[in-house]
This record gives sequence, structure tokens and C-alpha cells, in this order.
Amino acid sequence: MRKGSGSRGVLAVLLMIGAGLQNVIAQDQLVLGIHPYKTSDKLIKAYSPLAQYLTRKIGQPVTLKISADYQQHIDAIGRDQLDIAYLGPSSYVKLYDRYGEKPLLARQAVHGKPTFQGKLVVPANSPITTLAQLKGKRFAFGDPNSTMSHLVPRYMLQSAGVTGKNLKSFRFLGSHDNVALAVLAGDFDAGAVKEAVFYKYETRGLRALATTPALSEHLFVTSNTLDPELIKRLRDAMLTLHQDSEGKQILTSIKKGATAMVPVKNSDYDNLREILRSLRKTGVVQ
Amino acid sequence: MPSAFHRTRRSVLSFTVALLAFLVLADTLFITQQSHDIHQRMQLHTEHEFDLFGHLVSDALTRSDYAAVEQAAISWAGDQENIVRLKIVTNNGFELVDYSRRHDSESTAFFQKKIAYGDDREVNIFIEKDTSDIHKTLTTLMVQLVVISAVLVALLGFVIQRTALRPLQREIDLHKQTEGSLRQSISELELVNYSLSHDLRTPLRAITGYSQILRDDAGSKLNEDEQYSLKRIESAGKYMAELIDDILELSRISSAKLSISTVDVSKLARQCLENLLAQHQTHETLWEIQEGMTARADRRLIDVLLENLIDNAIKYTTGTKVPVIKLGTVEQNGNTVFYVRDNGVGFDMQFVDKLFKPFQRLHQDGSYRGTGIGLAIAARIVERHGGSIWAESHPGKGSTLYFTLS
Repeated sequence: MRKGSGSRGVLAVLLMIGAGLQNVIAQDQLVLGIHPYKTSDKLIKAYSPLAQYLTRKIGQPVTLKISADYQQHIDAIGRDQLDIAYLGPSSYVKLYDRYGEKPLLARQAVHGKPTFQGKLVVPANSPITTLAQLKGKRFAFGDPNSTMSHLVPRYMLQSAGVTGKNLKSFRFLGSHDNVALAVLAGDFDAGAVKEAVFYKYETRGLRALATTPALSEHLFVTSNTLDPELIKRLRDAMLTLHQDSEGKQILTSIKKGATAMVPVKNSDYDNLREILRSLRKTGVVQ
Repeated sequence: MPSAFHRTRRSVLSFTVALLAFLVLADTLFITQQSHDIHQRMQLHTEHEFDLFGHLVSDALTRSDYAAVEQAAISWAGDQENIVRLKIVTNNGFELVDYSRRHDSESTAFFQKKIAYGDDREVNIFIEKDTSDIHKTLTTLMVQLVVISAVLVALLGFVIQRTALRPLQREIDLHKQTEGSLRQSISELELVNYSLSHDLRTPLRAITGYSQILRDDAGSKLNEDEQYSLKRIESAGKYMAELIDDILELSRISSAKLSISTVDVSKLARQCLENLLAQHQTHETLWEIQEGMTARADRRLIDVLLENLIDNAIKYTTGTKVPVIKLGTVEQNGNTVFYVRDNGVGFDMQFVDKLFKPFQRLHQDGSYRGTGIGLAIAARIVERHGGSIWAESHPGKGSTLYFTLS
């Protein structure tokens, strides 16, 4: 393991040199990388207003790049092959673990909140009232990589003594909606969904058994190679987005309900970091 | 003839009604059958749809892709214009899908199917379909059938009217016309008859008057042959006067105005019988008259009628040792039938047609008095009252004359 990471470090340095050369060649062009959580078309459409805005603010062209997958995305920003990167909380924790500190620009606030939560849900008429009672029951997760439909709830279950082994069964249903519907349909005794999905289905017969800790939202980080002055200008541009109507439209385009970009620090992700560490220990994540 | 016409019209009417009833029945059967067929086709079609959609639902649910079921259901139901409601309900009663479309249809049909998924799970799919199209189709069909049936009946009615009723009506009209002109001719003839008879009296009176004078003045001068001739002239004249009187009587009766009242037939008959017996009785006659016989009729004419019938009875019992005459009534088909019965000579029933015709005599040997007008007058009176008259007889055993008055 240690050997592997060492050789990877050498590779990273080599690539960094390459990236540096690239920066020299196209000095005035910044690349903003997005992880592929939707199709490329949709993502380019959603982030183009932001790229244009940043271009105008810093006087340098900002172009978009959609990464091939989550891991490649983390590696690209980790090796400073991207100038700016948009990251989910788990990805950021992984990035930090593997590549160390990166300059942080801002995290997004949705409906005024820079954090998000999830719910562990049961049917409204279920006799279950505590997490511990889920032993021997059927549990529905969303995607294995999803923070709120798997990772955090899984950690909470483990903390209450409920493991993959003592559950009767558990399955990954892909989406938060499927988890909610599966629980409502009675095919599973409980499930984990993000807050918004819980509220969407609550009136149809869902009850929250537990609420996850508040986790810090998605964020923008930059390459270590970027000029600190440029980083500051980028940060300022982000933090003032919500101040005019054009900025609000840019926010909405990125994520429906996003209201602002707010200051962020590494410690905002400590609770998630702790959760992931714990899950790694039990082998749920690598 | 009119009754034949009414009968035909009644038959035509019954036929039309029967045809109409048949058409209504046939139409109803046809519509019911069509409705049944359409519904069955729809049922089959829906089952086929259910199979396809059910597979989709089952596959998605087995994958635990509930959201896909929701989407598939909404897009599937949305594509089918006649689906107004689609529900997918899980075993625990959760409505996974509840799709409904706004509609203003009054008729819908419900379908339901259980779909299995996973290892041992199942959901119920409920579909409500708009059937107003079917309703509309059936209504249109019904209207078409009703119109066709009505046209058919009307056409048939028209044809029957043309081919059966109208010619019949024409024939009746023609008959009525003929009858009218005949009546006219008869009354004209009767008038001629009356004036002729009346006019004949004057020369007849001259003949009888002058032969009387001749007898008184020159009777003693005439020899036996001449006396006989004169006597023949006198008796022929007398007979002719009687004939003229009878003709005038018949004519009078035919044209007399009826004045109807309740007539005591028994009383009239008794008076008549007593009078006639007093005039013509040769030996003891037994008679019997039923008490309490009455009729709504013209009293004067009934008197004449009874007189003629009783006179007839007395006349033809002259040769009977103990003449018996009976008057009474019998009930026949709810009608009162009067009769006058005697035990006289009777007559041969083969000549019964001649009996009531004027001046037709069944006994022409001169042994019975009269001109042969009596029963003709009787028949005319009965006819004037709207009744009928007939006779029964056995030669040598007597006759019975029956009559009704209305």
C-alpha cells in the first residue's frame, strides 16, 4: 500500500511538470473541471454561465472540462491538471486524504444553508422507533457512493450496532426516489434518503427514524499552482455571486435552489472525514 | 262490406304492430349483441395491454426501480387517450402510482390485474377506461336502426294502404254509390207504383160501377152465359181493387214515418186475434199468447204486422180439425225472437224464398183467400224496424214464423 502510493507520487510529480508546461503554453486559459454527475451536455449548459462570469471577472478565459469519472476527477485536481474543480463532499475528503491541502474558493448554500442532511426512513405505521431495532430488517440504500443514501446512514447504523451482517438484507436501489418508494411499498423495512426526497414523500406515508449530521455542501477548489492573487480574485467573484440577479441565475443554473457561495474551510468536512474513516475501517469503503 | 273493410284495416294494423314489435325486438337483440361484442373486444384489448404493461411493471419492480414504474405508468397512460385513471397499489395498500386524466365522460369501465414481481411480491393494477366512444357508437347504431325500422314500417304501411286498403275503400264507395242510386230508383218506382195504383182506381171504379148498373138495368134480359160473364167482370174488378189496396198498403208501409214507443205486444196480439177470429172463424180455435211481451217499435205498424201474421195463421188452419195458434218469444243470441205458430197446412221449405215476396202464393188453387201480399207487408214492417223474419214449416204439420225487431 505504502509502496503503491509512493510510485503514484512520482507519477503525480511528472504529471505536474507536464501540467506546468501546459500552463506555460496556454497561460491565460483556466480549466474548470466538473465531475460527471449528469450527462456532459447538461453539465456544460449548467456551468457555462459561471465560466463566462469568471472569465469576465478575472479577465482570463475559463473553459469547462467534464471529467471521465469521479476518481479521475479527484486525481486530475489532485495533480493540478485542472485549475479549478467542483467537488462533492466525499470527493473532497478523498482529495485531501490523498493529495493534501488545496486552496478553497467557496461552498454552495442551498436555500441559505451550506450544509445538507439525510433521513433514515420507515413507513409511517412502522413499529420501529430506534436504529437498533433495524437488526434483522430489510434496508434500502441508494447508490453505494451516495453520501446521504448510503455512506452516512451506513455509519449511523454501524454506530447503533446494525451491520451488513445482522441486517436481514440490504440492497442498493440506485436513486433516493427508489429508496423512498421501496419503503412505502413495504418491500423494505427502512431506507436512507436525502432530506429533500424525504419531504417529497413524507405525506405519502414516510416517517423519519433518524436525521444524519449536517454535512458541508459541494465546493470549488483550485490547483496549488495558481497565483494566490488570481485565487483571491476567483474567491471574491464566487462569494459575491448572490449579490445581483445575474449571479442568482448563475447559481440556479448550477443547482436548483442554490442561493449563494459562502466561505469554506477544511475543517467544515471533519465530520464527514470521521465518518468515512470509520467506514473504511469496517471495509464499507476503500 | 264496411265490416270487411274494418276487418282488413284491423288486420293491417295488427300486422304493423306485430312488425313493429318484431323490429324493436330484433333491434334490441342486435344492439345487445353489438354492445357485448364491443365490450368483449375491449376486454381482450385491455388484457393484452395489461400483459405488456404488466411485464414492464414487473421487470422494473424486480429491479426495485420504483421511480421507473411511476414514469412508465404516467407516459403509458398518457399515451392512451381512453385511460382516465391508472392506479398501481402495492400489497400493503400503498398507491405507488395514481394517475388521472381530466375527463367529462359519463361512462367508464374498470379493469384490474395482479402483477407478480421479485420473489413473492405482487401489485394490483387498476385501470379506468373512458367508454363514451363505445356509448356513442352504440347510440349512433341504435338511432340508425330506429330510423331504418321506422322507414321500413312506414314504407310497408304505405304499400299496404296502396295495394289493400285503398282499392277496398274505392270498392266500398262504389257500392255505396250504387246502393244510393238503387234506393233512389226504388223510391221512384214506388212513387210510380203508388200513383199508378191510385190512378187505376178511377177506371176500375168505372168498370165495376158500370157492370153494377148493367146488372141492375139489364140483368133480367141477359141469358145465363151473359150473366156469368158479367159476374166474372165483377169479381175480377173486385180482386183488382183488393190488389190495388194491397199495393198501396205496402207502399204506405214502406214510406211511413216510424214513431217508436214501448208497445205491449201481448195485448195487441190478443185484440187482433179476437177481432180476426170474430170475422173469419169457422170452427173452435185454440190459442195461447205469452204474457208480458213488449217491444220498442211503431205501435201502428206492429198492429199491422200481427194482423197479417195471425190472419195468415187463421187462414191456413181452416182445414185443421182443432186449430191451435200460439204467440210467444224465444231468446236467441241475446235477442228476443217473436214467433207465431200454427198447426195448419204448412208449406214445403224449398219454396221458403217465395214466402215473403209480394203476390207470390204457395197455394194457388184458390182455396185460400187473399192476394199474397200479407207476408210481404209483414216482412217490410220487420225490415223497417231493422229486424229479420224467417219461417219453419213441415207440410201438414203447421208453420212457425219468427221475427225480430232490431
